[in-house]
Amino acid sequence: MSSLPQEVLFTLPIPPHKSPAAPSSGGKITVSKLTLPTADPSNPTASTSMSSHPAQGKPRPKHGDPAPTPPIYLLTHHSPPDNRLSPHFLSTYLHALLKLQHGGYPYGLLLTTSSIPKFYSNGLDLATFTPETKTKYLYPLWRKLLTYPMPTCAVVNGHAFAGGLMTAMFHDYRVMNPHRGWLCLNELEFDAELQPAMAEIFKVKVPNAVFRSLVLEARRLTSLQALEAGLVDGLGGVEEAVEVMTDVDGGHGRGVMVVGARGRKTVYGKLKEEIYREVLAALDMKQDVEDEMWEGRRKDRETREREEKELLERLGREGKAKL
Amino acid sequence: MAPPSQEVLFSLQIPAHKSPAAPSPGGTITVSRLSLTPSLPRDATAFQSMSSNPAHGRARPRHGDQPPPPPIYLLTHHSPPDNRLTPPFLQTYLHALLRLQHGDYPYGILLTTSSITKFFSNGLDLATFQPSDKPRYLYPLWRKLLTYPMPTCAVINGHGFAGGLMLSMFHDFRIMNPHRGWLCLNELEFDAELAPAMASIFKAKLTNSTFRSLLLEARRFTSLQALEYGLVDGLGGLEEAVNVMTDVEGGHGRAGMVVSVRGRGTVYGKLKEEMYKDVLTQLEMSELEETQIVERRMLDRVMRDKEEKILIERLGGVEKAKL
Repeated sequence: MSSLPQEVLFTLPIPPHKSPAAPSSGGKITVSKLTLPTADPSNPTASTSMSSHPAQGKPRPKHGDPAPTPPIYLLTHHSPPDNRLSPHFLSTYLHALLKLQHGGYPYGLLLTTSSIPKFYSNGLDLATFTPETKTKYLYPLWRKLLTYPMPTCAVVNGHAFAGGLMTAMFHDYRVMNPHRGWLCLNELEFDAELQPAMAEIFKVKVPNAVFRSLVLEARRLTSLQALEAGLVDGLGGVEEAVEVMTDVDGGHGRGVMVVGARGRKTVYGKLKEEIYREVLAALDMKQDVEDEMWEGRRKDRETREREEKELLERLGREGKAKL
Repeated sequence: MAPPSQEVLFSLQIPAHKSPAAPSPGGTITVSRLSLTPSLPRDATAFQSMSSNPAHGRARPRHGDQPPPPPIYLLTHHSPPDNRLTPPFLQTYLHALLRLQHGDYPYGILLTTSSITKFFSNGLDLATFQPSDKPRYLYPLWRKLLTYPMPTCAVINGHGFAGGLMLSMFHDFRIMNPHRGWLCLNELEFDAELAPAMASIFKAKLTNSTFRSLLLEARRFTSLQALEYGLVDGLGGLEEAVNVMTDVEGGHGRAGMVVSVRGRGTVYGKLKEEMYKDVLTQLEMSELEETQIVERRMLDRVMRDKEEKILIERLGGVEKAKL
C-alpha cells in the first residue's frame, strides 16, 4: 500500500453480503487525506511553473507564488475476499463519495484504490444481481463517479474484471500497478449481454479496436497492454498517481489546481455532464424503457431468424428450379 | 518554395465593435486566390502519379495526363486586437464564405488564416456576448464551415483560445505555426459551462482522453503537443498548408483535386453533413431549445443535490443506529 502519511477523515462499514457464489463477511471504506512530502524550496514545485512554452519566456505561476497543492483524498475500499460490487458495497461507496462532496471538505483530487492486494474489484456478484441492484445501487454510484466535482483517479492495484473494470472507467483517470493484475471484460465467457450504460462508457473512452478486443475476445490486458491501449493513463501505485495528477506541466495536474482554487464554485462536474451526456442518458434510462428495448431486440431477433430461414428455403428452391 | 502570390478577389469590411473588455475599431476579411510558382516540381508529379502502390507497377494518372492543380483560396481575417468572434466578425466571415461558394468561382481548396501575428482568434467577447448571438451569428458560421463544399484548412498562425480554437475545429484540416501560439479551452478557469454545440465538435473529432485534457485541465497545447494529440494535422504556415493540401499521395490533396474536377456538382459538403450529423443537430438547436436543455439540467442538479443530502442523513442515521 501507500507509504504516504494519511489522516483518516472517516470510515464507513460495509455490511456482510450473503451469497452462494461470492459471500462477504463485510468490510469498510476509508477516506483519508494524504500528506505530501514538503517541497524543496530551492527547487520550485511543478505547481509554480504553469507555462513552459518557450515563446512565453519564464514560467508564470497562476494563483499567487507558489500555489499550494490542493488536498489529495484517498478512498480505500476493503470488502474481502475480492471487492464484489454487492448492493452493500455500492451503497457504502456512494455514501463515502457524497460525504466527501457535501461534508465541507475543501475540493482537490480524489484517488481510489483497494486494500486487497490481489483485487481492485472482481465485479458484480451475478448470483445475487437483480435489476434493482443495477438501478438502485450500481448506476447511482457510477453516475456520481462520472460527474464528481473533483478529478478522480482510480489506482488499480490488482485485478479489475467486468464491473470492477467498469468502475475504474467511470473515473476520470486510471493508474495501474505495473506488477500485478489484469483488466478484463468477460461477459463473453458466461453468456452475459452488455448493458447499454456499460457499453457506452467504453464507446466514449476507448477506440473501437480496443473495445472490440475487450468484449469480443474477453481479452486479459496486462498493465503494459492497458497503457498502450489507452485504458489507463499511467503505471504505478498511489505515489505515481499523486505525481501524475499534480504535475501541471507534464501530467494532469492543471485540472486539480484549478478545482482546488475554485472549490465548490467549480464547474468541473458540470463540464463532465456535457462531455458524458450520452453515457448519462444510458445510466438514467428508466427500467421500463430499457426493458422495452431488450424485449424489442429479442422480438426483432426472432423475426429476423424466421425470415432468414424462409429466405434460405426460397433461395434453395429457386436454385433447384434453375438446375 | 517561394511565397505564393495572391490575387485579391474581394474584401469585406468588418464594422467596429463596442465593448468594455474587447473593443475593436473594425477590420477586414479578404479572400484571395493563390498562384503557386510554376517552378515547383512537386505539384506536377503529385498529380501525375495518382497511385504509387508497388503492386500496380507504373503510376496511372486519373483524369488525363497531369490535371491542373485546384484553385487555392485564402481567406484572411483581420479584426484587431485579437480577432474576437463578435457578431460583426462572424457575420462578415459568413458573408465571405457565401460569396466564395455562390459567386461563380471554380471550386478548389479554402485556406483560412489571421493577419494578426499573435492571434488566430481569442474567442468570444464574453463582456458583450448575448445568448441569442449563438444561434444568430456563431452557429450559422460554424455550420457553413463544417459543411462547406470545398476542403477547408485553418492555418493557425497564433493563439487559438476557446471559441477561436473551436473555429479552427470546424474546418476539415488544421496546420499550426510551430513557433508560436497555444491551443486552449479555458472554460474551467472561469467557471463557464460548455454549450452542447461546442462540446459536440470535439467529441466528433478528438479522442475522449484528448478532449479530457483540453477541457478538464484547461491544458495549453503547444504546436508539438497539438500535433501529437491530433488537434492539428501538421505544423507550418501558409506554404506548408498548401503543400499538405495539394499533396495527393502523402498529404490530403486528393480532396481538393476531386472537388475541383467535380465543381458545383460535388458531393463533398453533403458527405460532411452525414459525417457530422450529430454536431449539426446541436448547431441547429434554437435558442429556446438550448436554454431549455441547460435549465432542465440545472433543475436536475438542484434536485439531485437535495436528494443526496437527504440520502447522506439517512445513511448516516442508519449507521448511528447500529452503534
